[in-house]
Amino acid sequence: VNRDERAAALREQLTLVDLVDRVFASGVVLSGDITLSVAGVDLVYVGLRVLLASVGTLDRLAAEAAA
Amino acid sequence: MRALEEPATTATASYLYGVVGAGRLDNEVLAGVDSVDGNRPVRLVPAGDVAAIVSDVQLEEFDEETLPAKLNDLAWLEGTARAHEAVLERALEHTAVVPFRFCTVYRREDDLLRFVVEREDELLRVLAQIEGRVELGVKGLVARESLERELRALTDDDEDGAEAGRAYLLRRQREQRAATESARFLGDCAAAAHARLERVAVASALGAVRPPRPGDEETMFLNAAYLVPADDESLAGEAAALAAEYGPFGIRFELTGPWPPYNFVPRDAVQP
Repeated sequence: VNRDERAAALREQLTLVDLVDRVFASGVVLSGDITLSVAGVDLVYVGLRVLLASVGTLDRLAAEAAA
Repeated sequence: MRALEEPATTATASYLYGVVGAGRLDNEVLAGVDSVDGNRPVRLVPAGDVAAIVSDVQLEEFDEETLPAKLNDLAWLEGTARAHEAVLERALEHTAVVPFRFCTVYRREDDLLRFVVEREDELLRVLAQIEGRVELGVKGLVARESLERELRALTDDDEDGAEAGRAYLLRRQREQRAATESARFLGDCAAAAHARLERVAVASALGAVRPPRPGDEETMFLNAAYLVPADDESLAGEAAALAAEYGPFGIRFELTGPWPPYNFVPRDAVQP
């Protein structure tokens, strides 16, 4: 994997962070008569934590590639 | 010959992506886009003057018990989140869409339909507000070292000729002052930027900034969303002007979107 590809992967991941940030944290949130949902706020952090950890990994890879 | 009915162990549920006005979107438009489970089609379920965008999913995949584990699976999370967004973006190309939160799933389509029908008036009101408008995201990011260097250069004390101990103290004081100054500078910058962007937007929403992680070169100090007319370039222009003004201080503004108006729909559509 060359440097450009890594940088592109990093950009993709950062966009994914934005995406997950939005699709988890906003939009119409249901309570009450919904039978299943991820409405619980902690689930937002489950998803984002996984994602940010992986971005951290990509950051490192990008830094190594740049070095 | 295979049975047409699926066995009971693969019960289906209904995934709700969003809601559009009745007659504003064709099923053919949605037919080409991948659903969250990758093979069952995305379709419209008419409900009075609105229509729900749905697809069937396997109940066991979105069950409250299995979902947390799924969310920890990066490949699943990425694929599902991107599919959710792609469906809404496809709808957004044609009409206003009220986005629902990721993984809004009903056990039965009847329940979903009843919810939408009960909330029809409110959904129509929201649709009218977001018609012809999109959400843009603006993030303010700072390279703190650059900012502190700039601020130090502006308030430099002369330490030449000072004895070593005194020079050290001066340097420490200067570093502490730079940190305080940069925090104040960023607060002012966030407020000023938001005020200027807000002026060219229909509505705005401030989000939480993501905390910095060790090793990050940049820190987020502004995370905002703006509702703007779909064809209006004013906000992009304002963001570019801000970037030019604050660029020398190690600050940049990142524009994202257009997004479905995730931040401009009711956070809680159901108060039973």
